[in-house]
Amino acid sequence: MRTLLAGAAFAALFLAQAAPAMKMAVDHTQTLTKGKPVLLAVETRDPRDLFRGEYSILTYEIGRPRNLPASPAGLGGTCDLTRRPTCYLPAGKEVYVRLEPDAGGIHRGVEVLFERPGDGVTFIAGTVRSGSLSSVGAGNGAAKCDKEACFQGDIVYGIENWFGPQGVPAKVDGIDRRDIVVRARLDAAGRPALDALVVKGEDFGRTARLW
Amino acid sequence: MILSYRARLRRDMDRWLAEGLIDPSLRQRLESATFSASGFAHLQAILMLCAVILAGVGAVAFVAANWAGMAPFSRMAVLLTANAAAVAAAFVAYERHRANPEQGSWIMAEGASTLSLVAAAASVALMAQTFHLPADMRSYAVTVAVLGALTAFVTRSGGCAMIAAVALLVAGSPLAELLGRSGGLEKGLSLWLEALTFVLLLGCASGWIAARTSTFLLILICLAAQMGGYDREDFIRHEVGLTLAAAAIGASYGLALAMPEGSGQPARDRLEMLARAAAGLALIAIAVLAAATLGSHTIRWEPGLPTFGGAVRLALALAAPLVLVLVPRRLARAIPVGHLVVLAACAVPLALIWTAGLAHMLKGGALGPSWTVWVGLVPLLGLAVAGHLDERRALFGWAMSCVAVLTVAMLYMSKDLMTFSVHLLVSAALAFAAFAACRWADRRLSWRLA
Repeated sequence: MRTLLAGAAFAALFLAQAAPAMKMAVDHTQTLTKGKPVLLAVETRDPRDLFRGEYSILTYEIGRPRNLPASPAGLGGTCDLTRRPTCYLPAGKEVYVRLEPDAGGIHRGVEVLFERPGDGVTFIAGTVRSGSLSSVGAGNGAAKCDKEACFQGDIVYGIENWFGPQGVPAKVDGIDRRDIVVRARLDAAGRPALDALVVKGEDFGRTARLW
Repeated sequence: MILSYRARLRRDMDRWLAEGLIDPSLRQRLESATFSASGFAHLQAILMLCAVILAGVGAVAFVAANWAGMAPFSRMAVLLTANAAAVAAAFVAYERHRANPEQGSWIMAEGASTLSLVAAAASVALMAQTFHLPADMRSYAVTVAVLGALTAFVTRSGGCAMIAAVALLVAGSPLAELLGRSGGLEKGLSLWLEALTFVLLLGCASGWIAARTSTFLLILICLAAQMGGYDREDFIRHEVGLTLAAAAIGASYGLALAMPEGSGQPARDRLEMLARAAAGLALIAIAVLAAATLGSHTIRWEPGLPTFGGAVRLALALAAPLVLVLVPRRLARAIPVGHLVVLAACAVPLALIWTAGLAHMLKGGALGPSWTVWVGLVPLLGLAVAGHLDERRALFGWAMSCVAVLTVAMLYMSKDLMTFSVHLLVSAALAFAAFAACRWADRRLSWRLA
């Protein structure tokens, strides 16, 4: 009886140990198979890490918005542009960037939101690393937005790394930036999963799925 | 000089032989029973360990060479199989040890349990890489800490408890933000991390988890960091480390005396280990403080809003000397002089820091580099004395090493050698006075007994 109980405890331990990796794999496979595809403009840089191998750092166009129209709704009293023309956002603030495709099919950021948009809107969820909100005519650089506020700063989306076999990230880095885009897939909450690098219209380094 | 157990036993057997307590044949039997068999067993264990390490590294290298060409499903299958094999091996070794504790392989159970945790942690990292997820050191450390604590409680493995303690230390550290895209530590999460650390400490102190002194030391470092080190991005705040060490010594000694003689022995052993680990924490805190003082950082007590944890820690630290003196006298036991010396080593720098803080409030001031003698050198020598009294080789060795390094650093970095020498001479005079008092007390005691 005691051996049986110990066996059950060890079996439960195995399930608990395997659960985080399993959940990660299943969640991402679901996003990759059922998520909404968007193409994103990107720049690459390939570092090497002793523990993580070789990878490319992907710097997205939507990761560095400059004077992008923004809606301060959702920020509450923390950012009152009527009292101060510029307010700085805390690192870690969750944001939603509304995307619209251009003539070439590349999705560009058109608005920064601090509340999750409703259905029918294509948006990507990210986290502010550093950024500020300015009223029209204020802030750094020429304010070109035509809304009540503009966002400027750095946003990360969790798809900034692309891991490849030995030597491949260095090759990716050598590709002309006009020839390479990233296809990401968005789940219902706007969370992205990196689907593939697309080089000259062809899939390159497509992320594998469990099924 | 503190000798190893074997050297001490050889020396004692020579003495017993000379005093006629044992005869040469008994000495030979004792020697063969103590040294020969264990030496062969150690050789077997080391050879087994070498074989396992080589086979493990070979298997990892083989999988790594083929990793890029494997489909995610195959990768997942490899990782889960390795994890399942390690858990199964831990279960078999655990059951064998339970059936026959004398011959069962606890080292195998420890090794397999730790391996299962490493496999689970590696699975998370490798799956994150497969799906191109960026580094998030804090989330990863929290995951490893939770899995480590869970594995430690199920398998009773001290190795897993050590990994969990290291993960808890990393999870709360501001360093985690620099090593990835982790955000700041939220208050809710920090409370959970503290609770998990206390649960781990409780598991180890109760004797359920097969902890060693180093396991307790890691957990105490983790607690000291959680109790304030992270606020100022220090590794350990010296006043927190010193008061926590004193509190841990008093509490563990008092609890150990309260345990029943027979059934409470495993817990008593663990509590003694906790008290020994607290001396290690005191050594680290004193070394950090000495480095800060020598580096001309402003060292003084700065009053702030009291916290519940801080108040409990301070109360336990203040009660510790009373526990160490009054309780043994009441139970007619020997007073633990070694622990008392460690408490004194904690008290000297704390008293100076608090005095400097009060002086600053009145007319300004802080401890200058020359005070390193009192907040570093003297307490470290006190710890070395405690190590010598209790025959604790690690404490003695580390304390003397720190004294040597600190002395060289003081001579090298000092801009005012004259003040340093005055402080050193005054401390030497006090040490001579203590020596004379000890000698006088010893003679007086001998005279009374005669």
